[in-house]
Amino acid sequence: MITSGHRFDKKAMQLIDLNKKNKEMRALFIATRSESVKLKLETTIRNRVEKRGLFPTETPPYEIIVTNKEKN
Amino acid sequence: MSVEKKHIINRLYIVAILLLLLFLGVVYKVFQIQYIKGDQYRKLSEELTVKTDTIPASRGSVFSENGSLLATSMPQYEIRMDPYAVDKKVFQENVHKLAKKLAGMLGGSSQKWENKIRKARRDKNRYILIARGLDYKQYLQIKSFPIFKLGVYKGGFIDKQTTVRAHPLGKIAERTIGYDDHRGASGIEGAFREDLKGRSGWRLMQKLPKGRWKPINDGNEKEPVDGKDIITTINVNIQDIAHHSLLRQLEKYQADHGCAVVMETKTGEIKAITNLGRGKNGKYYERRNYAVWESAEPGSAFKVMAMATALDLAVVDTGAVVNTGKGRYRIHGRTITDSHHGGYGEISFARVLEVSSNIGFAKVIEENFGKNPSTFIDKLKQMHLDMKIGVPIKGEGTPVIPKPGDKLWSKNALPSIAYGYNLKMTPLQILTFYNAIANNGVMVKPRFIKEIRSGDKVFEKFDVEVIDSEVCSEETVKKLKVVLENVVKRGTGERLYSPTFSMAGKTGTARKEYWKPDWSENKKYISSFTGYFPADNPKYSCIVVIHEPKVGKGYYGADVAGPVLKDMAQKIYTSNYITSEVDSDNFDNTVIEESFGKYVKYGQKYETIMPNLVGIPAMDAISLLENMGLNVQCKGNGRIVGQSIESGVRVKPKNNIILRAI
Repeated sequence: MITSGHRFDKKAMQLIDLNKKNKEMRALFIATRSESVKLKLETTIRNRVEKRGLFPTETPPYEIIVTNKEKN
Repeated sequence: MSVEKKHIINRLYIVAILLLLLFLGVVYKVFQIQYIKGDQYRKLSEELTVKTDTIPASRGSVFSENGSLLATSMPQYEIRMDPYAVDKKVFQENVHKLAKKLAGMLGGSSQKWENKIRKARRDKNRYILIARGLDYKQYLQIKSFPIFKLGVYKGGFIDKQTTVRAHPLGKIAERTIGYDDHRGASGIEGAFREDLKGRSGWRLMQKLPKGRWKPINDGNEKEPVDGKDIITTINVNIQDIAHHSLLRQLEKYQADHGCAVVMETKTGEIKAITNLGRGKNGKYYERRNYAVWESAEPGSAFKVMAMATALDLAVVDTGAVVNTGKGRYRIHGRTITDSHHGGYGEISFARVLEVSSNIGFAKVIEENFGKNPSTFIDKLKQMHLDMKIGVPIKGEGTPVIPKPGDKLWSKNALPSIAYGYNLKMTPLQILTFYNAIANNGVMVKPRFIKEIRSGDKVFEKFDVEVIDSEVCSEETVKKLKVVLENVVKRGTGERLYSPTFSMAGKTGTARKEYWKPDWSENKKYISSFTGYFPADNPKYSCIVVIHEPKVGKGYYGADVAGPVLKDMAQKIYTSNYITSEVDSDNFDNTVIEESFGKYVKYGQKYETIMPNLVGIPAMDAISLLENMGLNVQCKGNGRIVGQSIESGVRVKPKNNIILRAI
């Protein structure tokens, strides 16, 4: 009875620790995620590469699809 | 002898009686504890060792349309220190290092930090504040500093965790995302609070040593239900551009406040909404949701509504000639002026809108509806211009369109309404109408929310809501579209015209607080631009309103507000491909194939010996040499004509080489 009680307490402690860890991991995830969202923003990139002389394009990219009618 | 015996017996009796009384007393107390006050004591004991623990539900998060977090609950840490708990030797050896680290992370000089901690130790202050509002990463960092890494008992490191609502994107769209706390319930957080907050659960806990608690039962007495997530229609990239573009214009024109909204034409989804107002320190913040709340005189932006009314009721056509005179016109005792000195003379009704002539609109509307203004007002109402849109965000401004007989009505009301005065609308309400024109007459409701979901399960989906499937006739829409495109091509929006992409819209420069006696000394304007793009097949509509730009710097809608819309249009234009198909049989590949073959061959052959690069395309040469680990500098472009290291020379990584290309 006493052993079982102790084991239960031990499990409960473990559970509390794991819950704490879970919370911390979530916090780390959110902190990293928000950092990545900020880094991805166009204005962040624009500011970073401006010094190197890079600016957003004023014309859209061309996509050239090469087809081969003979093969088809 | 017998007397003595009797004495002893008497004493024994006394002792026995006393013992009996004591025993009875004990029995009574036991009885009292067990039965009379039993319940009270049992409750007290339970309170000390058993408690009801509330399990708070996690509040849902707010996401952008592509899954970026806009608002979420995250832990935040407050760090304090008990310098008195640290061993003397450890303290003396490490306090300087700790101060240096703290200065590096939190600012201030390391001397200041060291003095602060030393003073606290001397004063036996066991709870000094180190930092507040740290996120988890910063918390981990500070926890690893000297002394602190020894923990609570040896390092005196005290942390307090609280859960806060964080906006990972910072100030961007902050006002629309809103909050739900002691300040009230605003924005999306406020509007969807019931979905977001979830329901708390509870369980019974028993006390364990070290101040910990364990649950008594396996399951919870009541399980918490986590809040649902809100997926908004906001597009982080468009929002980012809108925010920074508006900020740039506000700063440039030192304006008081402004807002910009981008809406998807077909669906009414709000892709970006930004509201910035100037704070006391001159910087701009998301202060109020101006786009939703601020009802103001729209000025020239309303001329489109007036033209739609006139065209739809077929009282006038775009080709009709209007005499706008010499730029000044007196009607019902009031003078109306046009911004162009000397006036526009006789021009078509379409041109009246292109150049935004106040006189032209006042004349056309007065001539056609002066005798029966109700027809004009009723048509405006039929186009839903007097109705709130009914957005879920609290505080939508009420539009005001007076009708004959109202307090606001006078002889001058009708011509004033024709060019956007004597009535009030919010930016979002104006945009909804323009969007209907872009959407071929179908008026859709602006939407901020796509879905409410929990994990993968969708609880509620919000679809397109059509307010009116035909706000005005197809013919009217067609005519308006042509005129709006011409406003940018050759009208008041001419400066925004770009030959590479098309947009259509209407500028607005409205006077603000013009009834004040000091207006001529202290002129205030509202500059706006409302439109859509691309002009031929609109994808997005957009409104930009900027209040009180500094008059000396400029105040015309096309200069102040227009560039924000142009930035949007340009951004969306450049983020789509221009596709063209080429048949490979129609061109000769041999040159490409030859140089590619050479490139592959050189790449495999040369690792430490310099190849002869003359004749090779510069981009191939740079790539080859950089793969060999060299620092390459190339002057000119085209094919290589010279190399600073002769071919056949042995090279090592990080050697410098200069190439010349023509």
